[in-house]
Amino acid sequence: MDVRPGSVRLQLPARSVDPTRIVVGTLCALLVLIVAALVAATPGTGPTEVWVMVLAAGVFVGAGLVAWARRPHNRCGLLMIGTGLAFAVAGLQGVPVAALDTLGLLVETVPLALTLHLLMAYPSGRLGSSSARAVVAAGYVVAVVLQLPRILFAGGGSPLLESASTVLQAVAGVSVLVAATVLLQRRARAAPPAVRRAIGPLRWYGPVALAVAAAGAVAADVLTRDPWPVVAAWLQVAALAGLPLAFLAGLTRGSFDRAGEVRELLAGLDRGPVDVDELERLLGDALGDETLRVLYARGPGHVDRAGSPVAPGGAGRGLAAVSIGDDAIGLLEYDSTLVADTELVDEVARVAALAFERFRMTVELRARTAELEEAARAVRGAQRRIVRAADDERRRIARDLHDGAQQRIVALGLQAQQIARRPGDPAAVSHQALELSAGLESLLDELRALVHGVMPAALVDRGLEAAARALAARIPMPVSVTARGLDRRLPDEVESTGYFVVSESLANTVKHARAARCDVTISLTRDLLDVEVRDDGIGGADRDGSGLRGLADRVGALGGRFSVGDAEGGGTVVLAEVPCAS
Amino acid sequence: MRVVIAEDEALLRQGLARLLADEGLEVLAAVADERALLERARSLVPDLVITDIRMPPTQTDEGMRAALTLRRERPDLAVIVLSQFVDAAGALQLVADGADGVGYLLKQRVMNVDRFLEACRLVVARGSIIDPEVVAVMMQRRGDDPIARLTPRQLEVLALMAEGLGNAAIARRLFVTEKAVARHINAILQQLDLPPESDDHRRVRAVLTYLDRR
Repeated sequence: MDVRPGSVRLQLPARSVDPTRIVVGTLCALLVLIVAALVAATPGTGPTEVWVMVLAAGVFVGAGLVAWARRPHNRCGLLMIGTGLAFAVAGLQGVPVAALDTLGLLVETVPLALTLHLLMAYPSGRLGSSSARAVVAAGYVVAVVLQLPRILFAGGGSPLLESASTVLQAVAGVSVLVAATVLLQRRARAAPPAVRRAIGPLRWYGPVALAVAAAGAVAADVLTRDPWPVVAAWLQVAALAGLPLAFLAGLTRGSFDRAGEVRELLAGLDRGPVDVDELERLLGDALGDETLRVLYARGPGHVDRAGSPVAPGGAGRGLAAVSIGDDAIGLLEYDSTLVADTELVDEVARVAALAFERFRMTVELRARTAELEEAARAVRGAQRRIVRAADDERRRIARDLHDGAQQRIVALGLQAQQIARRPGDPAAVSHQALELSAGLESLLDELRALVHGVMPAALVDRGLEAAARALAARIPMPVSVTARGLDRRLPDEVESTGYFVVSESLANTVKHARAARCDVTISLTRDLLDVEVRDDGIGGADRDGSGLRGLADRVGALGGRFSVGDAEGGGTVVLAEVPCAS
Repeated sequence: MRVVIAEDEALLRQGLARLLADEGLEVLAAVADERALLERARSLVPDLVITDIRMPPTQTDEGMRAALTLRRERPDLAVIVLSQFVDAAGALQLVADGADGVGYLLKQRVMNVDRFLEACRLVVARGSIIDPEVVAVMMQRRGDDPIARLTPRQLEVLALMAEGLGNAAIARRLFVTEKAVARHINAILQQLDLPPESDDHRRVRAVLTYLDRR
């Protein structure tokens, strides 16, 4: 086989005729022929009865066999074959063998019930709702159970009871038909477009055909004089014979015949290099589902073709695994209301597997690119926040200096002026000079506090441990400070970051945690500084508060790791790991 | 001279009030926010209002706004606005409606009592005074031509004009004759393409506006 580079060629199993179907088809044909012979041999029957039976049975069985062959996993084909056979058996009415006659009478209206079943199950072959199942069951009850009185009274001279049971059956039958029609309309309205298109004409034609057929059956019982029975019989056949053809057309055309589409898909994959975006479109076309997504396995999760992580599935979404051998390489995510046949999806998934494998590299690259971009965005965000935090800090210092220190200096200057302008009163001068001196002292306190807030002297002069201890001593709650391995000074930015982790965490604990105590552990192991602040408060720290966010940014900027979490047994743990290779 | 003082920092407010009272000024009221300032200045009809720019409630430019409001209501009221920092835009805002009887000074100027008292008397006498630091910043900012073509002496004269000094005062400050000052001023006005102004406070506004223009 000639395999061009960059293309995938797969062999679809040839469409061979299944021997089962040949056997079933032959048996059906035999049965119909036998019944036809029996009917023809019955005295008092003309060719009409034979032809009506053969036509009805033949059309249903034939269409059913084709549908079965084309859609082996869809029950509609079998239902059609069953309906055809029921027509054949019902034709046995009137043959001179008593048992066969009774059998024919028993199944007289079963074809109608089966047709109803078909109508409700179309196009997926499954009864979608409990109300649909109830209607179909009621149909069988009307067709079989309500038929029994007629068999019982057929021979015995009780025409009143017989006609009463006929009326009962007719009324029940009409009710079931009305209920089925209502359900069908409701389903058609609620269905996605593709299903609605498939239901399309059957939505009206189906119930009308059934009604005509049922009316024909009743008419045949009532109008016994020629030519009415023959007219009624032809009417029934004419009404019903169109149905299997309509079902077959619906099943093998449009969104429900996908065998051809899979061939198309193969042709598309074979035609030349398909890119990763086109693959999704091709697969979507093959399944008639525009919303189809191709998901690639990546690590424990999945990514879409753009490389973005996704959570597969959801309401109304079906999933089909794509694998090569035992290696699950991805998923097809499709609209499960649109794609009724899971076998088909699996087939498409099998066909797509090789192409999938080829695109995993592309998608992996896209995913990594997306991750890098995300990381870059996060870094930019952190940088911006760091810059803003620095600006805020400068603004705060400027305001403190303007509104605090500067004003006090002016006030003290005024006091000095007053002393200068009031000589001659030693007592007053001395008093004012003392006031001035006290004012200067408190100004110094203010400046010291300001400087401490910017960068504590203990940290600058004596390092992280001393600064943390000095800080802990000023906190109005028991705070233990444990330091390990801090036998050397660390780079300034590491020390200050460690200090701010401690100070911000302690401030949060005091403000929010309602804690009884707090433990600070600072340890240096080789080139990694670990800072842990653990309290026994109520936990639930606000990670996105500006304080903790700022810490995370700072630690992140130094290539470290920062986390805030609830401690086991309550409380909050703040952890920072800062690399400090110096 | 009847004065109302507005300053939110208590120590400074009391110090200033006591100092001015000691120097024989009549301090009608010393208040701490914009609303009180407006109220008192309207009811007590002072000759002079001395106000801090930043005051409660927003700590932005309450004092400036109150000063402008009061001046609009009573153009003969003299005001001195005290600022914590150099803000040329603030100074321009103050002289925009007329520079006669207004002063814009850095707060620290109150520590030089004699100069401050002189400024008070100047604005009450319809003069104007702009802080030299503010003028210096504006001059620096306008480092382009045609200012760059002025001689150092002319630059000095221009700065003093901007501060609100009259010819005589400039002459005293620079130890030159008034005639020499007038000559410098003519040269400057010509170079900067400004109309000759005999009126000191209109000259202040023209010069400041010129310095502010880019």
